[in-house]
Order: sequence, then structure tokens, then C-alpha cells
Amino acid sequence: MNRIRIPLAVTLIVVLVLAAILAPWIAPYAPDETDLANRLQSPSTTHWLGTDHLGRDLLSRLIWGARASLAAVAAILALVLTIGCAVGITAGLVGGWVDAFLMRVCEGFMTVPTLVLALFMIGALGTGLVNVVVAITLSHWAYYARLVRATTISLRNIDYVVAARLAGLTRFGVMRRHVMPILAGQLAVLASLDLGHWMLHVAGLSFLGLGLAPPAPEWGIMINDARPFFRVAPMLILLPGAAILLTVLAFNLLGDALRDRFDPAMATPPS
Amino acid sequence: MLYFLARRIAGLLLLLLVVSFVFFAMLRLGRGDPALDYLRLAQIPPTEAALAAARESLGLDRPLVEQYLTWLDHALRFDLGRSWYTSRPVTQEIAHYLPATLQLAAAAVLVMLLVGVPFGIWAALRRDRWPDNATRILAFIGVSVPNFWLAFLLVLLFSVTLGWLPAIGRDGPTSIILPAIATAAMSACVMLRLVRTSVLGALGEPHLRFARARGLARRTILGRHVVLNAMVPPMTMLGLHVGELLGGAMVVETVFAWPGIGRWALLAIQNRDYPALQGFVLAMTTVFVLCNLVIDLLHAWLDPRVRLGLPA
Repeated sequence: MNRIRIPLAVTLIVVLVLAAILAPWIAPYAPDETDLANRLQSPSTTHWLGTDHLGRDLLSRLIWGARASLAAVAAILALVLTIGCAVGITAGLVGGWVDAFLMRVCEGFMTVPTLVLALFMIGALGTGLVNVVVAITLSHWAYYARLVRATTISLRNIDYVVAARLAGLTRFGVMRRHVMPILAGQLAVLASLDLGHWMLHVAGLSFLGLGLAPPAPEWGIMINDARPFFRVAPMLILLPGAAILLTVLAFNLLGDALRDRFDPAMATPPS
Repeated sequence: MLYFLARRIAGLLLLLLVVSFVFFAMLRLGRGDPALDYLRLAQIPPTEAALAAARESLGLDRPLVEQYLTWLDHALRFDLGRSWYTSRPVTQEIAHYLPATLQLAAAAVLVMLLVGVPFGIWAALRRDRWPDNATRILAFIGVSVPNFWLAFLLVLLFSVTLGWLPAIGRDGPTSIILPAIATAAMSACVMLRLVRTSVLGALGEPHLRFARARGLARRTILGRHVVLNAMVPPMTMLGLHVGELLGGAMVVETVFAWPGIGRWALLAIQNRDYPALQGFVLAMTTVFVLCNLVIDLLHAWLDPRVRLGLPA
């Protein structure tokens, strides 16, 4: 199991990313092409996974759905890492009252449950996928800033770094040569473990109707759309949910494997 | 112990104060004109005169800090203003909807402990044998399942197919079972794995050999020296996951038509109902902070080093 984790996770993620990028070419139908004469069809040769309540092809919508979800998660990843590193490195390198102030801000953000904070942000900013991304970013960056700060500080006073400073390396140089490589590993572990979590948040908020507007193909919305037809066509709910599950599973597999590799202290002891 | 408690409470109050100000500022400085939202929800045509009147009556023409202090003054007397949408007092609405959500979250904590702790201990004691491997795979899938989707699966199996449990609503003690499981699933899986790791760690402690040498029964050693010691990390995690459970409960509620705060908050979000949003985030944060205070106290009780402020 341990040996196949990375290949399995990478394969799954590559397939999902390819599906998202190539959606216009590989999806058999347009995602919003309605056909009221053929609504709620079961799987057949024309519609491999059947159709939804407006006669739209389920397979095509699932493929298109990968786009919004993956794009949202990628955007959150980029934003969280940028903000987390910027704040964490500033706090760690400058120190003093700047550090104290930034850490109090982080604590403030960490006092509120993440989903509650995200909901509040959407209330303040308005609904939409971009605002969902902003809301989830704002509710998670603080954890990254704390980690980056802690690593920066612990490395700042380590002997070989002090020696490098004495030898004339600038603060920026220390950051680039000695702190960044170690930070990259830690961030890779933390972020890959969080990707799935963010994915679940995006799906949950879309399901609540706070993300993309309904005709758009998105897994969370598809589940919400299908609720009235739950008993007649459970597949309309089961398949988009399975797509979410599979994506999150792939991210978690990757995160788990990366953690074992980069962070031996946290790894499950070898058996 | 009293000193510890006082210090923690003072810190939390300060944090709540700062957080409430930041949220207040965010809403006021956020997108759009609150007066316009107010008129829309009150269904008053937005003429210049009406806008000016609304700004004055809501105090929006005054400086931000003054607005906040007025709000704080009222909030300290449990007056969070009236919802712009329903025009009922926000405190009253929260008191009406929050208990159902808290009940669901509490039931979820129970499920989490009932599943996570015993199975975690079992997996640790049968390390690398089938109980450990089975719970490992189960937990791995469990942390990846969207809670609202799991809710549908549970309804499909236990309500539609088997007809054992009610699918929606909140009547009778059985109606909470499915929502609680859906809310707790992910946290229970995290708990299970953490308990396993923690128990394995405690099993390797050198003082256990001394306990064996003293002739203590294996049962006593497991109970007093292993399990009790191993409960500290899972408890810290429980505190962190209370937030996750509260959030999860709000999503799961919508599937089961559970009459909690989730639906009310959703309306407030979609309508940009400022007083309701403000009250919502304050109430949820307070609950979260209080739960963590209780966890901290338990922690201090279990671990004397924390109580005395010594390094662990």
C-alpha cells in the first residue's frame, strides 16, 4: 500500500486535471445542453451515465465540473501560500512588535471556526466562486503564517545560519539559501494534506448555493440540483459526490505519502 | 487552578473583543452601501431622502469606532439589534435556532468519542493486524467523504431502503442519529487515528516497565498508565474539531431539514442582513471559544505541567 500511494495519487490527479483542461473536447455533450424529452434517463449508449432533470448529459457535466473545483482549489493554494509566507517571513525576520502584532492577528483568525468565518466572509463579500475562494483563503492562511514564522525563527538562530550571517550573507540570502528549502518541504506536506479539506469546503459552500450560480456544472451544485429527484434518480447525487470523494482521496493520498517522506517525526512508525 | 482559569478567561475576552471589532469593520467597509441593503430588505424604495434617513437611524453617518462602541454597548446587554430581513431581535432568533445546532454538534461529539476512542485503542493494541488495517482504510476514506453527501447516502440506506430511521425533521430521539453520524464521520476518523498513534506512543514509555515490575495487573497498566496518558493529544484535537463540527452541523442540517442555525445564517448571508451576520459570527465564535476553554481546563486537570505553567 505504502509503495503505490504516490503513483496512485499522481495518476488520479493527472486524470482529473486532464479532464478539467480537455473538458470541451472529451465531454460528449455540452454541459448546459438541455433535452426535456429525455430527462432523468438511466445510463444508455447515447448517455453513458444517464441524464438529469433537464435532460443534460450527466457524464459531460461531471467532466466539466472538475474545472470549477480544481481551479478553486488551485487558487486557494496559491493565495494561502503567498499570504502565509509573506506574513510568516515578515514576522519571523523582523520580530519585535511587528511579530507580536501579526501573531495576534493570526490568533484572531484562528479563534473563529473556519467554515463559520468563510460563511461570514461570503456574507460580507457576496456569493460567487471568487468570493468562496477568498473566504476559504482568509479562514486558512493564519495556520500557514504560524508555521512559516516558527520555522524562520527556529532556523534564524541555528549555528550554521549564524555562521553564514557572520560570513556576510544577507538576511535575504539566508532566507533563500537556508530557510526556503526547508520551508518548501514543510509547506508541501501541510498544503497537500489541506487540499482535500479545501476541496470539501468548496463543495460544501457550492452545495449551499453560495458558489457558482446553478446552471454552471459544478459537483456541489449538481448534488443540490438533484435533491428533489433523490428517490427516482439517486445516481444524480451519488456520482457527483463520488467525484468529490475521489478527488479528495487523491489529495489525501498524496499528502500522506509526502508527510512520510518529508516529516519522519510525524510519520507512522515503520512496521 | 483559579489563577490559570482567570488568566485564560481574560485572554479570551480580549480576543473576542478584537475579533468582534475586526468583523464589524469588515462588514462596514466591505462591498456596497449597508443603507441600500437595509432599504432593500425593508422594502422601502431607495430614494435619496430614504437613504439619508436610513443612514441616520442606523448610525452609518458616524465614525466607525463610534458605531462599534454603540454596537458593543448594546451587545454587552445582549441586544444585537434587529434583523433587517425578519425585523425580529437577533438575540431572540439566535436563541431560537442555536440550541438545535448545539444539540446536533454535541451528539456528533458523542459519536466521535464513541467511535474514535475504543476503535483507536483497539487498532493500537492490535497493531498491523486486521483491526488496525481495516480501521486505517476506513479512516482514510472517512476523512475524504463530503459530509452532505454522506448524509444523502445514510438517508438512502437507512430511511429509503431499510425504513429504520426518519429521513428529515427533528421529532423523537431517533431523528438525531443520522444527522449526528453525517456530521461526525470525518472528525471520528481523525480521532481514531490520533488515539491509535497516542496509545502506541504511551505503550512505549519506559515507566510501564516499572509498573510491570511492581506487579501491577496488565489491565490496570493499560487503563491508568496507557489510556489515561494517551488521552491528552486527542482532547486537544477535540477542541480544534469543535469548530469543524459546528460548521459541519450547519451544512448537514440543510439535508435533514434540521431546524438549526444553518438555514437562518444562509438567509442572512444571501440577504446581506448585517445585524444577523454580526450576531451569527459572534455567537458561533463564543460557543467555539467556550468549548476550548472547557477543553483547556480538562487539559490542566489531566496534566499538572499545564496547570503550573511548566514546559511540557
